[in-house]
Amino acid sequence: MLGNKIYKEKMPVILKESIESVLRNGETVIIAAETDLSKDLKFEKRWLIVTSQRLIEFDPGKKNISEVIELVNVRKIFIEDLVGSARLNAEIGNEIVEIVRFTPSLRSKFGNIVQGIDQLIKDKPVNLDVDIEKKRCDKCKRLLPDSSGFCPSCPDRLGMLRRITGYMAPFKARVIVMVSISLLYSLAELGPPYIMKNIIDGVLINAGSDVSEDGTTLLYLLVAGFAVIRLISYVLEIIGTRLSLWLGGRVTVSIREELYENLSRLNMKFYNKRKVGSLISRVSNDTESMMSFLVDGVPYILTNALLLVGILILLFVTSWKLTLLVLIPIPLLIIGGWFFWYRLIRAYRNKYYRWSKLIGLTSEMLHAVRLIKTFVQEKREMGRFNENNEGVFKGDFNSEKEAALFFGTIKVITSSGLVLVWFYGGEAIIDETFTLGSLMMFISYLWMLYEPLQWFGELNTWSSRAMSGAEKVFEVIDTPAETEDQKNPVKIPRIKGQVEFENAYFSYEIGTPVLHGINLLVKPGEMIGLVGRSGSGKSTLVNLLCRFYDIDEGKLSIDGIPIKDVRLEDLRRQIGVVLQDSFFFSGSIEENIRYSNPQATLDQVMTAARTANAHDFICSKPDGYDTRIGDNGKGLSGGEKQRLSIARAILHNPSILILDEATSSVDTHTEKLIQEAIANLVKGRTTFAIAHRLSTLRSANRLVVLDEGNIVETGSHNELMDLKGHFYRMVETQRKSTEIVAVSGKKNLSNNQVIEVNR
Amino acid sequence: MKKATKTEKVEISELDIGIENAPTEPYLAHEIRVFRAPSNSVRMTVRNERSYIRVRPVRASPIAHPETYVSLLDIKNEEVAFIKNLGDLDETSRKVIEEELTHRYLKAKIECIYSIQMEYGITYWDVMTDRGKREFVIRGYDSIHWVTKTRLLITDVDGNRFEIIDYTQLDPLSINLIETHI
Repeated sequence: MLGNKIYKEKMPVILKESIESVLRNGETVIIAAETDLSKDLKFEKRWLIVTSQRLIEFDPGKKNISEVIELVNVRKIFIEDLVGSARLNAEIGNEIVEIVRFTPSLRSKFGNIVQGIDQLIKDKPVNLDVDIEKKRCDKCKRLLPDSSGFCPSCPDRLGMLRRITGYMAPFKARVIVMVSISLLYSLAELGPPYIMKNIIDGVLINAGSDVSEDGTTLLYLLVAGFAVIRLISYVLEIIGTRLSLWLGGRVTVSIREELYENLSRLNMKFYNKRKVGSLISRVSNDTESMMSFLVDGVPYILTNALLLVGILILLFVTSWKLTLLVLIPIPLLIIGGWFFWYRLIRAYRNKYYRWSKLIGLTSEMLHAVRLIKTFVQEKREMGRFNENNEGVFKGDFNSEKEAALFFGTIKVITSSGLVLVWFYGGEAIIDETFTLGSLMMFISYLWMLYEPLQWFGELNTWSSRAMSGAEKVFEVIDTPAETEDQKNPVKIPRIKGQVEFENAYFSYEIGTPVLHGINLLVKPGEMIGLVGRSGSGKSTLVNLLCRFYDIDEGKLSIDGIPIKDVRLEDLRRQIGVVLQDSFFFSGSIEENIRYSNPQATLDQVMTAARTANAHDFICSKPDGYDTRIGDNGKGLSGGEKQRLSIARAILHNPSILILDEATSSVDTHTEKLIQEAIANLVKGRTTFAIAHRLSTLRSANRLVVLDEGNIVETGSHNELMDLKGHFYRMVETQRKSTEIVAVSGKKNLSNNQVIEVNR
Repeated sequence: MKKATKTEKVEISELDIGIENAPTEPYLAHEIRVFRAPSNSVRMTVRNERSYIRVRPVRASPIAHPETYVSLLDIKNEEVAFIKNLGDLDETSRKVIEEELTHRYLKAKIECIYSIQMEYGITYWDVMTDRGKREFVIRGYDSIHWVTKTRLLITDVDGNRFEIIDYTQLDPLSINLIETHI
């Protein structure tokens, strides 16, 4: 039992003591894991303790052990997934015993643990790699929404900002210009109230009594100065906005570029865990929110922060007493703005949700108009619509109510500051310790001071959204690329095509193995038909061959070289895949065939198309090879698509070929054409063909029958039929349901014809 | 052929919707007996003639009709018996099936909501359920399903299920939280 990797979570003291008290001589704890569900399905803590001899369930609330199982008696350990919970079961003799229960939140942890226990039962060294998903954020202690481990509410703002500014490095000069423009702009903004003060105190106050020549000149000068400052700030604003737009745009472009590049390099395991939608949102929404913050948010914060400092200095200089009074409402303003802002966005979110529901319903109705009419359900649909329509009213009403509350509150608080200024400033003017001009200036600055502070809440949301967007984007950028090559990969310019699986084990999700020890040697040029029910492991074999995933245990080698050592580029370049539902990019037919080999000439493309029986139908189209096909082959029939993808594979000229349900759901004539095309394609290549319609596998040299991740039978069609095992039963079932085998005589004939044609 | 009783006749006429060669019907409640085998598995016998080891009772409509319509599946996930009303079974059979069902379906009923916090499309819940206190996270609006105007089903990011049978029957604070957040 040497070399066991121990997995222990932090145990409460009582538990530790009671475990130590029950341990036998020489018995050690190997796994200690907490569950979150008791056997009677209460959300309570229980512990699973696995020692070198026993499985024990502990209830920390009680001193004594609740359940003990001797490891020697355990034949099998497995997880049973139920609805809303799962349990760890042990098979003892003929009996199945539940050891612990847990909720889906702990599913992956226990998936790992089961593997460890399984190794223990089989007397192998325990090699546990429990990557415990973090459940809570270290900082704010909140639950985390996904397994990626970052908390959307506490992004590392400083770190993110530093990283984003890192992208600005190439444009240093522009950044400096932008910052200085913001500085100048803030200064210019400070000017007008000050000029106003001088106009009032220097000129207007004396109006009527004695307006000297000097007074009028001063007025003209001041007004001219006012106009010039406005003009300057106008120009500065335009230049500044342009610069920030440009900079923000450039930065997001380079981030998006890096993101996209990495997305195409990431391995399939990454994609299995995530939904395509959420990835698309990372490319579009998350970079968008970063961009909007960079373009609008950062300059806004910059100028307003500068402005704030400038205003405060000017106010203090004019009258420090009055300034202190003015500061009183500021905390109220920030807190009030913050509080009501959050209420407001909650209401808005609700409103948008209701709207999207109504819009969804309407579009559903319009799409299903025939259906609704045929089932005479107009009334019911109207009812559903009305219900949601009412909901939209509620949402609209609530959000406007909150908006009024938000703006009203802000207004009241800011006016309270104004009231204070008018009151004390007015008194001071009467006492002649303050001038009217100073008071007017004070009031102007007051507005400029309060303005940005009321948006504190919004600013916070805005920056948090941008920063958590940045974090998600950087997560993808930082994820190491797939199944990288070894340090010194073996280059195989021309693969001969020998494939060997040796005792290969594989699982997509830890704890649920898909392949259990596959042994298969395929000679170069051999055609193997993979047969089995769905979920039996056929596609998994193929995925491993393409090295979309690496096997967990055992060996997989190509031409005698372990697949991990083969240069990935060489491997993928020489494996061709023809899928049932092939993917086509929007572009011309020629471009799509050439996709597999961009250097091919048009002649080569046509030869490939001819070999794939596709040339004729292509030429019969008005635009021939230049026919544009839309998204994913729109405008082509199923049979045409299949032949195009065969042509593409022929041009690719792979050493190893994978046909994944390459023929299906076409009429007999087309099927014949496709069969011919495939016969042309497989010649001289190691081929793995997956098909549910067993008749299509007649030309295979050997059939391999898979069942639940094991190879159960191998042999030629006739051998397997004589065996009367799995394969025989499958053929019989198909005969009954489709009667395909009944016409297999004819089919044989057509296969013979194919060979003749080829000669 | 199964012998038709009075109650069964009604069911057949309900099923009689003009499908030819309809699959053979499953056994019905009065024909079967369900008990727990020593191996801890659930066993079913049909009129003491035929026996199915390891059947699995599942609810055909766990959300709308959790108390009725129970289907018994065999190892291959094929239906072997269909029980419209658990009351039609004998006492032991019913008990075994009910036990199995409560163990299979875990859906905590929320009895009181302490807080709901919403940020960036993620909602943090802190609740008391009939199974104890629990915190959970949901993402977006899609994981909340209004079964009726007052009944709510919630699935959290990990796949845990929660239910509020009638939110208007909760305490005023919880009602307010629901109405302002959902």
